Amino acid sequence: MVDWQEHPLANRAARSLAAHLRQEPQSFCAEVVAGVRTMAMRLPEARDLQDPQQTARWREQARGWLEEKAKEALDWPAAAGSLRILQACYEASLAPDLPHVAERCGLSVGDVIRHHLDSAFVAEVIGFMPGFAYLGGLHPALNIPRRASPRHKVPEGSIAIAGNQSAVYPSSTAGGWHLIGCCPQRLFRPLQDPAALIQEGDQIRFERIGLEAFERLWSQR
Amino acid sequence: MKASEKAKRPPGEAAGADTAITGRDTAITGRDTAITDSDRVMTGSDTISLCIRKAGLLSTIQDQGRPNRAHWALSRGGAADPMAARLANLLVGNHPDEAVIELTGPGPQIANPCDLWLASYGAEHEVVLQELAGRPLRKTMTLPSHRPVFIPAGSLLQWRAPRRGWRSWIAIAGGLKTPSVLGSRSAHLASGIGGRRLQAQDRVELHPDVARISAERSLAALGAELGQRAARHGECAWPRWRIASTIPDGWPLLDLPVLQGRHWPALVEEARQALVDQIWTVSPQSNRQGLRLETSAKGEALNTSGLPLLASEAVHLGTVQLPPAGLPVILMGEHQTTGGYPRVLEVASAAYPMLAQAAAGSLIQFHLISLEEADRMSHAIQRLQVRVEQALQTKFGQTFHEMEPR
Repeated sequence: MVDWQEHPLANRAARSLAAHLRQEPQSFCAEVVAGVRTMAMRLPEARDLQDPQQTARWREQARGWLEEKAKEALDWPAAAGSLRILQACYEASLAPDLPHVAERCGLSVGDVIRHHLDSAFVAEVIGFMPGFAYLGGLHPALNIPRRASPRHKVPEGSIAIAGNQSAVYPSSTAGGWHLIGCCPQRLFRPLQDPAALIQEGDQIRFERIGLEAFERLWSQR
Repeated sequence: MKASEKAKRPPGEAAGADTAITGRDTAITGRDTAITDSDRVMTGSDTISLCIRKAGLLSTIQDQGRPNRAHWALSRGGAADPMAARLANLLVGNHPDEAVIELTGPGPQIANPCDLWLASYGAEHEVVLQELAGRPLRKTMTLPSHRPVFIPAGSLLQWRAPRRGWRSWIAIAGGLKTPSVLGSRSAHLASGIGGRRLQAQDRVELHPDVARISAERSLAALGAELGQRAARHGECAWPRWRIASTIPDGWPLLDLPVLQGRHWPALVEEARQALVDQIWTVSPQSNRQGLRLETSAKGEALNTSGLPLLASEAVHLGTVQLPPAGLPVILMGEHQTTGGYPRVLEVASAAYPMLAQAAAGSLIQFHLISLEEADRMSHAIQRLQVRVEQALQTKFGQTFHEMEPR
């Protein structure tokens, strides 16, 4: 794992290094995952059972390689993403945590919604589950830590915030973020290309819709 | 099958809860993909399907999952114990990567339309034969697991709650003919990809030649006399041997070898001690995504002060996360690919099969090992797996030579 910590170009470096490893596969790397300011690599399963040291050797090779490339990756350029508009319904029935978020931030519910709509997001990391994108750039007034205990089940389409990020849950899953609305668009369609609506690096804005429009769009998903 | 009807549902219903299992043109992620009753009926005369009469607690179709797609935020999923699923397949002469039915706890009731050569491997279930060759049995019969069994057409089988262990894998000679999505036929319930949990009245399509394949393989394994008698008279038959169970000694107590996680050093000393000293209880809110742990008698939630607030980073099968409430979560095969809770431990890969056998109420104890020990254990378990696989392949020889690994 590489952790660029608080380096200002950490996110870009994580994305670039992960992309580089996918384009030029290394024998000691089975898969890579970019996180927020971090990148993790998984070693392959050892295949040569006559050689008990295979995993340990790969681990050493991977360490050396990452140490060198982690520095270089800070100088690699970023790819520009496209602009995507996501619809958002902030109706109380779809936003169970909105009152709590408002209270924590010392704002009115209306202000929370306004700040969310005003935020210019970038899809920093694709992770967590298919179609999910960590959207960086949340308005600083809405920065609160995630829930102390994750919810067992977050409803599909929920728009959530935590820390300086926002996201939409593509399907129902466990999750620890605060739910402030719901998006009627489908974020992951495995039979389409690309399967995910949001790609790494995309610029995202939310557009407010009412409950009636939401229900119409939801039924057409 | 056409699963084209749209059903309108309030938001918040389970994802992928009603995606079709058979049929090639089925939409796969659809919480709104309704299946009408007529869709469930066998279509076309050349398909042969198992009928799921009762679904059991949680039954799904699984294979070796979708590896190396974490960068799409898709975890591998697949059989909760992929090695056990391989063995189940090998017991009936299938390619090890073939799809199987994964049972969780009390299993399904299944009716078979044709002769089957079937193996159930994993937990110690009682498999009860309720009808045989179309006739109800006055006295039900118990079938053995951990070996292949010949089951004549028109039988009704019920997998009862396991005595030991929690999950089993049912392999059927010739395999299942369910659709492949992104290279696998596994139901990834957490992301709604590749099908859903099996429900009563579902049909699971089998290989069109399942009867012939079952006859050939059962004859080869049972010998001419026993094999032919079973087929002719509609009787169940099985070999005398069985392969060893992998349910750990001491179940429901699971003693998990673990490595220190990335954020272990940030835990306060008292919490480190408590994490590995106390016995944890698996919460009923656990699933294929993760095992949530609760405190047992005398145990207490951990002091999480000092742990960093994280931005999301990569996590993996076996990662032990510690949310601020101080109760650990062990990630399972359908885990999220990134997570924002501190990672305090990582379960050694050799112990992944044990995770698959953790039931609600199972007890978990962690013991720290070194990286070198983890490598040694992983090497040892892989060697053992290869030996068992080779022994089974030798036994059912010719069915494999023609098959290429996926």
